[in-house]
Amino acid sequence: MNEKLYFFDVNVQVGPLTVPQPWHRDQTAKGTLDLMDRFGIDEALVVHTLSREGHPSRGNQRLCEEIQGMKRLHPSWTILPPGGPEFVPPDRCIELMGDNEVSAARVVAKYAGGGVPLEIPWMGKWYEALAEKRIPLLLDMNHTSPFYNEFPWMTIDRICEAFPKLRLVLLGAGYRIQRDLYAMLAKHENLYMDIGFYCLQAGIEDLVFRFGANRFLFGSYLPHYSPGGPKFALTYADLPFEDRQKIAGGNLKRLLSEAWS
Amino acid sequence: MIDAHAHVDPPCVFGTVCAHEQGLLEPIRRFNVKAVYVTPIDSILTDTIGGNTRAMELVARYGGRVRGYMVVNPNHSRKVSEQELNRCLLEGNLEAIKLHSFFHDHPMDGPGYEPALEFADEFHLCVLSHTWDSPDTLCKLAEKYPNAFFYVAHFTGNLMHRPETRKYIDITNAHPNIYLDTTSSAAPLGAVEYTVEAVGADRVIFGTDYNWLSFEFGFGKILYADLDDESKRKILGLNFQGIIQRSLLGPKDFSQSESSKRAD
Repeated sequence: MNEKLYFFDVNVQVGPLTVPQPWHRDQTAKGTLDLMDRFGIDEALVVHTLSREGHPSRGNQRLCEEIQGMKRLHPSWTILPPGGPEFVPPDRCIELMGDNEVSAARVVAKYAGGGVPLEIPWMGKWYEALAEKRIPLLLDMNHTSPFYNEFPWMTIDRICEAFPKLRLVLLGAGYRIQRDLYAMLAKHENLYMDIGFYCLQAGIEDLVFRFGANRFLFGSYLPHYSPGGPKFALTYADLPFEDRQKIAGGNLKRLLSEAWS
Repeated sequence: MIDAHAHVDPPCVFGTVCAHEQGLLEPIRRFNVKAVYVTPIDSILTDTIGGNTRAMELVARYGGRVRGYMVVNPNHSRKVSEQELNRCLLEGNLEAIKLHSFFHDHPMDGPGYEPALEFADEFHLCVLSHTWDSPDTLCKLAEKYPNAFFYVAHFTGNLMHRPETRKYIDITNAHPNIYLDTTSSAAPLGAVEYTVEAVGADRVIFGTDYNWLSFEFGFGKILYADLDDESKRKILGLNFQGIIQRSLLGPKDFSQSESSKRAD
């Protein structure tokens, strides 16, 4: 337990919040770094709040501008289904991602009163393009609590089956999904998840015991949630240092480094 | 450190990993927890009386480190509830009362809860409830039973800007017998600090829902909270110890007993 873990957070947001709390004093990229310092998070994969809550066509570019020169922050771009007027096609978007050194995509599938269709007829071109470039796709269901989880498991099953080279990362997988989750993790080697909301007693240890340590990532949901719980739980998990380090940051680093290869 | 809100035995509602009895000793061993206050799953669901018996057996088996709540099912008759209160608290080894109006489908100010609240008032006991239905109901009960300690579970999992959250804070400030707890799967950034700022560190109690949920998750959010050490000490154990020691059921020993040392 004495060796220090290096934390690379997969789920951090930059930018103004729709419902800021009194303690959200600085919602800039600099404010994000200050929060990361407070909690001892070394690096983060970030998304702009404008991409999640406004529109990706504005938020993605703004993210790259706002975190420019901040080596600890790595951009992820939010994507929309192809074939419509509101977003660039996958091939062109992936070119732009390359130009902007963006190595992860994110789909926000659920909003109050709307969302993005995840099924293959609508998003298949994206899955194919991301799989080809080994760019991980973060599945963001807009979960606002570990209690309420609504992953579309049959859809996830079909996507992972049809695109085995796609690295699909479930964000905000809460503690109540264990009975759904285990079958999917057992079936699909290309399915990943963050442990930020997975707060079952010995939950992290049991995941590693059954599926190995390579598919679990540290995610905090900053600035909405405190990283204190998941960070402490991972630090003191009853696991070898090597496994804890993979989850704390090694796996995400590997996923991003393998993109574009 | 005292975990004032813990459980034992797996629930059917969602999958757990190690909700068994032996797991109860883990935080005690790893983090030097002085006591965990448990409610077995059966107590709050199908077999209240059997669950209360199980709680007493656990307390007897693990000395002072595992302590317990008794549960009153409001759907039982007044006579059964009174017998159960006497059996568990006067004759037995349990120390506080837990209510769960959500599972029991009964209003907190309904007649089924009167025996428990009257008993708590008479003996100055802590009454933990999963929910108090509404701030207004809590206010009414805190005034009707001024010697009982009203324990509001899962408080810091709430979003602090919501009007109802603010109302709970106002009511807590107006009633010295109301306490708010930190047990929650959700840990909104700043919620613990905001609660402490709003009601004072003396009124916040540490709980985790262990061993369904992770003790480490629950503990970590307090450790990393932007609070001074004295506030954290109060939250992590001193406040709840103080409540329990004010009970008229008899003195409670929080030093390590021989039996609890053996539990290590």
